[in-house]
Amino acid sequence: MTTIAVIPSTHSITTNPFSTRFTTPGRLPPLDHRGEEVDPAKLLHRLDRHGSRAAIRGPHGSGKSTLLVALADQLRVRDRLGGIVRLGGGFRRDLLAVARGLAACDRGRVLCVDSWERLDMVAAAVACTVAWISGRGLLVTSHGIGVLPTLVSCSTSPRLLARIMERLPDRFGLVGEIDVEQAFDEANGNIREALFLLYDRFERARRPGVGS
Amino acid sequence: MPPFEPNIHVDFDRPDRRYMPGESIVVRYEVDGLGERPLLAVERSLLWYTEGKGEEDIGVHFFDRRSSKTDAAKALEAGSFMAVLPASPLSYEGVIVKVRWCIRIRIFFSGRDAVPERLGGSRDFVSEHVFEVGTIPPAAMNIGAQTA
Repeated sequence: MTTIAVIPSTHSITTNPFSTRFTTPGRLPPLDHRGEEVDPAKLLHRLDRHGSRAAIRGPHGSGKSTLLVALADQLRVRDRLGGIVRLGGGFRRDLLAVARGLAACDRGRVLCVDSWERLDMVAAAVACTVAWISGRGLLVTSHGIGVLPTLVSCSTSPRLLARIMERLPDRFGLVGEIDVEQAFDEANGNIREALFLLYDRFERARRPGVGS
Repeated sequence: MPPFEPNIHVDFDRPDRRYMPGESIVVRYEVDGLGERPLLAVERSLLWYTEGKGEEDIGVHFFDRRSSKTDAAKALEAGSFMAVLPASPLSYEGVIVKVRWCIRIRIFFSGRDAVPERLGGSRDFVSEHVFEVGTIPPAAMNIGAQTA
């Protein structure tokens, strides 16, 4: 992960620390529900014990995609990454994307698929079978149960959001700890939604007297 | 051994960092806080990016890489470059999305975890220095009704 220091121009305009620039998967390290850093190497070891086919499970905004990106980076370093596919283009396109991903993935490598739950049960089972028969690994994120064993279950807590705050750029005192706790509650524990709420609060606070 | 806390200082030819499309921009940079660790490479770029709630977009207008294989160490630690700014996009301070121009200096070190852990613990360090192109006024705030 690259360290980025943003130096704003002298007369403006404070960078919004909650923008996706700083929060999107790959920009933050994977953290568990207590806010402790997850060791991707340990999870890859566990993935190997599952035959290189497993699922990262958890509700919306619980850090599944962030963890998948971190594990994909580790697989890349070990020259075992077979590709990354992000689903969400509709069932047929998603099915095609997985088929192409598996075709392009060399034997012994791992294909990473985000939002696996967008495939139906039959398509998911067929894809898993193809991966198993052809000796390809499959690491996916999913909300629900499925045929793949669970590698890790993601969940959230106010402490996790607080630890994420420590890793974001300066809030310039415009968003306080109470705002962070309220955002977590309002978003029902969905960290992604909470960060969007905090983005809006930061925008309101930096433009005093307008629309608040 | 001197402490290793990389810092990149950038000087613009205009102290207010305000430019218009088609104008030239001249930038000087200097890297310090390296202790005794040598740089492997420096990437200098001039780019725009979006910042907001959606996916980030980015456009690189100028890019140049200097490596220790081709340049002396002192030439990596300090330098300057010039570019002519394009007609678009202009800097924009929106609510949901912003367009920012910046000078990005990226320095690479040898070995793993070269940067101290509290600064990210990575093998490279990026410093972005924002400037403005054009004179579009900031957008008005109107997201209160959506989120209150």
